[in-house]
Amino acid sequence: MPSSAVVVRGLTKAFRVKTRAAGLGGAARALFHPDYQETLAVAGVTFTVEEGEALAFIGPNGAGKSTTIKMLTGILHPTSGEASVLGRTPWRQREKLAFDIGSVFGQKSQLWLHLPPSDSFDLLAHIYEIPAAEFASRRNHLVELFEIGPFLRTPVRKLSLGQRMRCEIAAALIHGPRLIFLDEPTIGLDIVARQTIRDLIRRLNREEGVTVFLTSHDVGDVERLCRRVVVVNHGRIIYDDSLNALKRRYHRTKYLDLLLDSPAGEFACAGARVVKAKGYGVKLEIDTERVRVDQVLSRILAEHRVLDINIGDPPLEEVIAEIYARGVEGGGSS
Amino acid sequence: MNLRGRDLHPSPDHRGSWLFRPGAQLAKYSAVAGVTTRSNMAYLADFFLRGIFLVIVMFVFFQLWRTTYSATGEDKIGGFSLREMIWYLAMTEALIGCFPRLTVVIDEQVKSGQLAYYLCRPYSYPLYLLSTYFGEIVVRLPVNLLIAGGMAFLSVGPLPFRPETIPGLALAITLGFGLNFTIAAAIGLLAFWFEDTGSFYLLYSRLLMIFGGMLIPLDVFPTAIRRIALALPTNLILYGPARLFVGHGAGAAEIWRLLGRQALWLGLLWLGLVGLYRLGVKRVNVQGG
Repeated sequence: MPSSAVVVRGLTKAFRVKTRAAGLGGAARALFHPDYQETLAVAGVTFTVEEGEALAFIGPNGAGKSTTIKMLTGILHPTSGEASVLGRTPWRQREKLAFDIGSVFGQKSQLWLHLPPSDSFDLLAHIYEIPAAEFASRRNHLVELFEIGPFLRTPVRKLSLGQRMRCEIAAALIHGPRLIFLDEPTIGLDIVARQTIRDLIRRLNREEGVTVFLTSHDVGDVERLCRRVVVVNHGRIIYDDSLNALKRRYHRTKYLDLLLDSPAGEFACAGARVVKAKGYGVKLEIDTERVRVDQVLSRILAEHRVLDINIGDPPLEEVIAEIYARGVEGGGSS
Repeated sequence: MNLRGRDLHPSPDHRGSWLFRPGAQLAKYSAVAGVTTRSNMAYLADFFLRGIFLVIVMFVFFQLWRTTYSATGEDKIGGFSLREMIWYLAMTEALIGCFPRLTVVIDEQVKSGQLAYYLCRPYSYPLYLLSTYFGEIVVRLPVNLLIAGGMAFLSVGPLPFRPETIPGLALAITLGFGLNFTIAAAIGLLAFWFEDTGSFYLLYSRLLMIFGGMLIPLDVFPTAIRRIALALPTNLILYGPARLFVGHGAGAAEIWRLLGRQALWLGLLWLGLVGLYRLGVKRVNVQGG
């Protein structure tokens, strides 16, 4: 039975933001009588992450993802609620917890820009108090795993973003964390570099057993890395289940790709919308809440000779966009 | 090989403890200072370019004071001969030119959210900053001393060498840097509360300029102003060490008094800095990003 790496109960964070009216008068008034508006960034979220799990924590901009990560790493103090990360309360035992967790914030760098990555690794070895022999063996392992040997002694400013990100993640792992927080680890990377980073994170999780807590706007990251998804919006959890269940639950649309033995022409089918008809091929969209797939198929097969059929789901991106939209319309609770 | 820390660090875990692992803590902060020094080597050419400014400043000071001494017809002003005055200013200018842009750096780290990386590491953020601060000074100080000293030498000739004051002077300079650190870092941390810390730093730098003896030794001031200046910790950052450098207050008792006052103020200001940091860190407002 796996133990829990992260346990969160009713975690809440409210920010007080200064507001002021427009114009010079507003600025002057704000000087003497500032108005504050309270923003609930995280509103009582509850969830757990098991050791060795890879969890995607996703949501639109401003949903509360980064704020949650920052509370779980001990950077932010919550307004209320509880959290335990690897058995510690992050904001009370931040320095102790830091020895066991790693973090990568995709838009920020932890490497020294003018120095080669090897210098940053050496520094981290001291910061995490890793014995010399242990550090040498772990660094060699990471260098091999991340294939960063050829540019280990090149100043970071001269590396490509993909090379830098491989070094960033290796740096976050140098102290052997049991849990790693990845905040947009593939942001700005090209498709090849993205794939490489995903494969590496996947190996770390599957082969090394490192617990992964990922936030990303890139659906490819989520699909490739995580089996479980937590969706947050407006600071609340609106979905917490497996990725497959997410697809099933929110899919009311199916796509049918047909290859006919005659030109598609003015193809039509009751209950289905023609998305595209070109040559012998037709793409149909079915709303499964209004009509069943087998009903549509029966109608098509009764009227046409079909050479090939492919039934597919909409891209995960669309599913997630739909969940976000429903959340905005007033759905969900934590 | 397994990368998970669980199997690598059996409990009881004394990592991060000054009590159980003081050597590891010292090594940690020394490594931070070392890497800052190496990183700053990339800017060495920049330091020499900035040295041009130091050359101009020293030239202006020399002309100004030479005219002043000849106009008054005095050999000494405030107890300083022209030679001592120029060497005094060489030291204050060399020291102030070493001060890293700490306030701006902290301000940016707080506002950009980069602070997040520093806060999820197993070290004390104030001590980390202190290490980077001295790591930068180590590169700048020799360059500045060389340029300012060279200018003073060319202007007024050598300063009598007093080897017995060197240990005290080195310590006084270090403590002076420490004092400037606590004040500059505290101003940077005000970014937790204020949108712009630039004005606070401007105020401090002006205070250092006038009451810190950067432009004129405090001995030249009227008694009342000198008393105020001597009561402030700012006089211990530049004036104290530079005065000792030119051989004023160079008796053992006076050196000890200077070091004692520096240490006392440093202790007080450090406590203030840590208190401010603890209050501020609860206000970290790194939403989004």
